[in-house]
Amino acid sequence: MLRFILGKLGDLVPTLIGISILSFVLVRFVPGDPVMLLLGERGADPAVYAQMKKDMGLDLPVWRQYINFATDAAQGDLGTSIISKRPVVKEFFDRFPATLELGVVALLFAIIIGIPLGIIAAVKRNSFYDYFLMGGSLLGYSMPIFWWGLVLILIFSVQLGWTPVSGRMSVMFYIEPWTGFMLIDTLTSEVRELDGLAPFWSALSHLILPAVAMGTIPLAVIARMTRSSMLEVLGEDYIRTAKAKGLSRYRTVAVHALRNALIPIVTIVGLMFGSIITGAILTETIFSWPGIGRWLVASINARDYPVIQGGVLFIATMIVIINVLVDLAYAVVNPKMRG
Amino acid sequence: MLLEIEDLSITFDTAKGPLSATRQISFSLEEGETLGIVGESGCGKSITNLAIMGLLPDTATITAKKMIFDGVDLQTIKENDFRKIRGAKIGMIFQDPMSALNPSFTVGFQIDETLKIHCPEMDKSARGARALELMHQVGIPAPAERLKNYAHELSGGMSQRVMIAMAIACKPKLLIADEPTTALDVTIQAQIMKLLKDLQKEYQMAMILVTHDLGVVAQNADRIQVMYAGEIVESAKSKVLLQDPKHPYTDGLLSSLPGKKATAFRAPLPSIAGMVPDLRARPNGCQFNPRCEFADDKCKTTLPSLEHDQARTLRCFHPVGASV
Repeated sequence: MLRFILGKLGDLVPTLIGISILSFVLVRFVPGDPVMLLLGERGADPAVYAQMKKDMGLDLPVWRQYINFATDAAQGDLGTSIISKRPVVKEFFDRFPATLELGVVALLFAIIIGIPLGIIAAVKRNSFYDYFLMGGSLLGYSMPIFWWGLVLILIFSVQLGWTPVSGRMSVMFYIEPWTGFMLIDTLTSEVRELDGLAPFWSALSHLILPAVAMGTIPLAVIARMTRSSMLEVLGEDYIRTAKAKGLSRYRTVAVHALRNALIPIVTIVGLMFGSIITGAILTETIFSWPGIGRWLVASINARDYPVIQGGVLFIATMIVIINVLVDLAYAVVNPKMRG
Repeated sequence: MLLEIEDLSITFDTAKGPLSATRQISFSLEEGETLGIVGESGCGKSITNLAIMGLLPDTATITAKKMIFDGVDLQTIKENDFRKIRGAKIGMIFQDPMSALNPSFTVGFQIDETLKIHCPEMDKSARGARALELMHQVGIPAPAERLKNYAHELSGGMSQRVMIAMAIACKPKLLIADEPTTALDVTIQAQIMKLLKDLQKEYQMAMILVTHDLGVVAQNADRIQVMYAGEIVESAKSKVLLQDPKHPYTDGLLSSLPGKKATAFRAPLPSIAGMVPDLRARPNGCQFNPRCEFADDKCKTTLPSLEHDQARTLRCFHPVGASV
């Protein structure tokens, strides 16, 4: 098992090299010049311009720039942000918990609702409920996140006034980061002594809409996948065996069928995590969520090369690690995968 | 009488119209008796058994004059009570043991589960001991280790033994074996049949043995019932039926058995020409008439009724060997 994990992590090296080259080159193809943006369109003294370009190492040929970047990166230094002048690694880890919290909650939302819906649709196959649900899932799947996010804000924040429009936490409270997960940090004893549960509810109300916006597509996919996987499993011989043993309908479905139906669902959930990150870029921008998605968008606008390169590398690493976790989860649900 | 079925007809609602899977099946079973049900694929053998177990899908409509098991009317029984019969009083094993076991749970879990629902008085250790005893009884070597195995770690024969252990866990009065050896190697087939016979004696179970292999029933069944296109065509004590088949279909089945009636060495094995009719478009008259060499005009228009005499039940106007 350890060898399996190490082997998977070993795959990370070529992946990262490939991705870093791609992001490095692509970013330089995009029109726009970070130095120019910093100095402003007008009034840039050519001497100052050249000096700045030299200081940032941008006067070198691209391949030399890459070698410098890769050498530093291998030592854990991804450079400093051109805008904030802070190390990219630090910037990333300041924002990463916010994205992770949002992503995990969104995915949990999708799993907790999607799997039961899919099971019911499969069990009540071809009923009105089934058609209704699958139609809804198609709708959910086809909805652009940015549009859906705006609709949610319009209804729940603007019209009904139930939830805040943006941000992660009310400005009334200051929460010392501990895990970086607001839902957890607001429950520490110090916070509760000071403000009670109010910060927790504030964090939750800020989280709900972006999580729903981000979790809708995964929810639709998971519900569909669960339904088709369940339908396949319900026709298997061992389901007939379970019934012939005298098991209740509930136990047959919830234990004997679901356990087997979960195998493809685990794979899908793993894949969804990748798209969750993509979703984060849109969702965070709409909801002003202080995570890496919004950070990346801002850095792309500013042509903040080190941030873009570093951020993309981090995301790639995360996706590979998540895939390893999915493979492990796969072995848990599928006995045939255990060596 | 342990099981009494009278005039059981099963119809499926399909997209292409109703399909009558079985028509007017009647049979009964004494305690401890073995009934062999024989016929080609698709002639309603398995469906009949699933009906007894109450496991037909919702698209099936069952009508019967009588369906009584162990004094309980299976037609009016509530689902909750039916569940207490399934797996407890009636055990069932299936054709393909490898796919009949759930791949995601250990063998031990699946045996334990049966005991848990039907014998609530047994505690965990009692169930564990019983599972071990069962594994031993069905002839599985190193039973303690095997209990921790998953289906994919067992051979076909081993899986069928586990299925048998699960089916007899609660000492059922009736064991339905639906083609129990069809998917297994010939050498394993004999072992499994012997095991079933031994267990039947030990547990004093009645058994319904479904197969399309006359050789298997010949050695194991007290009585044989031949089915064709969802109807019973002939039924008699094994010896009588095998030595003196009266229905042309039974006769045809026996003739196509290697080494029984094949006359000369390397003579081509006789076969019954044609196919089982499409159950949505049944022929008029006797269901077998399109394939029967004795069929005349009467056979093509009138369905012969089931005639009972002392030795056998027969549905035929022109029994084999009768003077015309």
